[in-house]
Amino acid sequence: MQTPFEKDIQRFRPILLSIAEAMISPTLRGHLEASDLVQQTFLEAHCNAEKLAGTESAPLFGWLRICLKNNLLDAVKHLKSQKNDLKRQMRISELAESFDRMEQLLVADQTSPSQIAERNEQILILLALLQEIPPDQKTAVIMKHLRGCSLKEIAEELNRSESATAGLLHRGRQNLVAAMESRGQV
Amino acid sequence: MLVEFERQIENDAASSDSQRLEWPLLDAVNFEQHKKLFQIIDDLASPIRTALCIAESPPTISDYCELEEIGRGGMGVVYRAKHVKTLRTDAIKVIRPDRLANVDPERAMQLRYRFEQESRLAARVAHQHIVPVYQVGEMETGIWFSMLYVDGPTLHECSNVKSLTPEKTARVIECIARAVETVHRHGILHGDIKPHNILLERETERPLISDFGLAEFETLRPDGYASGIAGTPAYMAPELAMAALSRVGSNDAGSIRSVSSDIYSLGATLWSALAGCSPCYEGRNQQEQLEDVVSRNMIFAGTKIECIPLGLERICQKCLEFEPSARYHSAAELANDLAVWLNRPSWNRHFPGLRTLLVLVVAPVLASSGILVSFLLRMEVNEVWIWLAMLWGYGPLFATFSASQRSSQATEAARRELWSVWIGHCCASIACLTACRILSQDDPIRTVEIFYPCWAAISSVTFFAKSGNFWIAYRWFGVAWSLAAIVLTIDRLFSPTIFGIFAAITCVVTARGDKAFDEK
Repeated sequence: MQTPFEKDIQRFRPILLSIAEAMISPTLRGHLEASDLVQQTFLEAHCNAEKLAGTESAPLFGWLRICLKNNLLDAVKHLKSQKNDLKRQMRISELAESFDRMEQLLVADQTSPSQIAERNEQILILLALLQEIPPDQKTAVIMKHLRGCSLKEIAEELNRSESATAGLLHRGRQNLVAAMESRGQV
Repeated sequence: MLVEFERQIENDAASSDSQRLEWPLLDAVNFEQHKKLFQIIDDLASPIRTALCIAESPPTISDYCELEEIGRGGMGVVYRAKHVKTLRTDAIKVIRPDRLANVDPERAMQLRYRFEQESRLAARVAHQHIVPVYQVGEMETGIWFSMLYVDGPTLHECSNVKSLTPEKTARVIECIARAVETVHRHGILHGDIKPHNILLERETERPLISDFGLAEFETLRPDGYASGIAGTPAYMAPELAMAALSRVGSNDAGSIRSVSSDIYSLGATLWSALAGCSPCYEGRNQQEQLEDVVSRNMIFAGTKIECIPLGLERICQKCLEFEPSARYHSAAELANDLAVWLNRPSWNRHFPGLRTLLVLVVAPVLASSGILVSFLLRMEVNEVWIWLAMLWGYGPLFATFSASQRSSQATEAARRELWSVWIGHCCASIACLTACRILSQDDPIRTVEIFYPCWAAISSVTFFAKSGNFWIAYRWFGVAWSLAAIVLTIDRLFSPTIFGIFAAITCVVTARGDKAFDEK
């Protein structure tokens, strides 16, 4: 039996998952799991359930994002202290800056014109729907569109041929757009 | 087919909009469909992509290979790379692509202009303490430039681990001040002097100043590209911080930046390198730091740091004056003051008894020698004894010098100068004595009568000479000895006694007053 708070908060799970997956760079993949970070974030949310219950959706989402950010940064710090080869490649400040920039992007809906708010809503739906398509397609689309990787890089990461990867990307996009259309968002 | 599409899209993104490629291989209808799908997703995803933009893979630059990121500043990323042809290891600075994203085109253009100007300004001034720029080139995302790769820590890293002595720090800042002076002479203001921008070459310990990212021509400023106030709050002059707080328009900002603001930054850098911490209190954000700079709520204004020598503390304070006009007028002045401090003689650090020795041994010997000469003149003894009594004061004087030389840490230059001055004094005196003896035709009293005023005059010259590099008050000794030369003519029999007592007083005052004899 889900409490209303539970229901409220679970809506953000796929969005946070997509954000976390996009944030975890190839160098960190294998060391960090997006789902672990999100799970931890939700655990913390549950611990603060009393405080958070009754919070409106936008501030609640903001709280979750900050919590996710801290969890990710802590995890990277921990990793850096353990793995020497990661030291040079990952910069905590850089990661924090990326998060801050995304924060600026996502909180724009509070004060900005309605079309921006509307677009932000669409972005969130896209992030949520990403979790509903098959995992390989999801990874390909995240790498292509959220991280700006080239086809070659994605193919290497997924261990597939370039033509197979291109197919994944195409089907991923088709599925996403279809899902968005079914929600009346295109 | 799909692969072709993806590649085409990638090529499209890389090339500019004006040169769209043809699509000979693709079925037009299919392409349009794919493109539409791609566009829907990408329109939504691109803001997040720009926000996340983490430049993990270094850019491709034609003349260089093996790029490895070594640093990241507000504007650019610095890579270490190998020049393909010469195999020399260089540092390459590239504008940060994420800084250009998410800003309006005008601002992006300003940033790009700034970056291009940085290479131009740094390349304009050649100085052994400025990181030289080798080559400027263009790539997809903007321009890059290569410069000397300095293998070594920054002054900030060194001061944090307290691996520098005050002497070494002063030497570093002296070199940097000379470099900054050259920069100023070219009409350029550096604008961002701080310990992070000073590199110390590991092998040679040569300090080099880098990062002309905020530098500007003092007068020449193209319209629309003026800077506004930028810099690092902790090392920013109060007048700039004040302007930054009141958000002065970019055109007025130019008139506030001056040589004096660079001098302030040099002072703050010196202070922070000596103290091993930032001049601002910890845990303050940028805005609060700016307010602190204006209200002088800084560590150097409040607490006294024990490890900073007094002389350097004074130099810092003069740089850090609130009023720009009260600071050094040029970086060269600062460099000169640091050089004077560095060359200061410090006899006593490893020879604690030196002051006592001067007061208790050398001074009585000098006084007694004068009294003895007066006495011997009355006794009409063999004149050889008189000459010996006259000159024997040099004995303990030189003995003291050689003893202190062996144990003191005074610089070689200071020691040489001290010896030169006093050996000169001795030689001139003996020559003068001989001349007086010849002119006075074997009359000892007459000789003494003429010689003592001459001797006083020689001493006067000696002390004037010493006032240059040693203690500034020695010039008053010089004046006093000049007057003494006249006083000594009053009574020829007592003149040796007066001279001796005068010499003893000089000796005691020197030992008491000259900082070089301080126990610390």
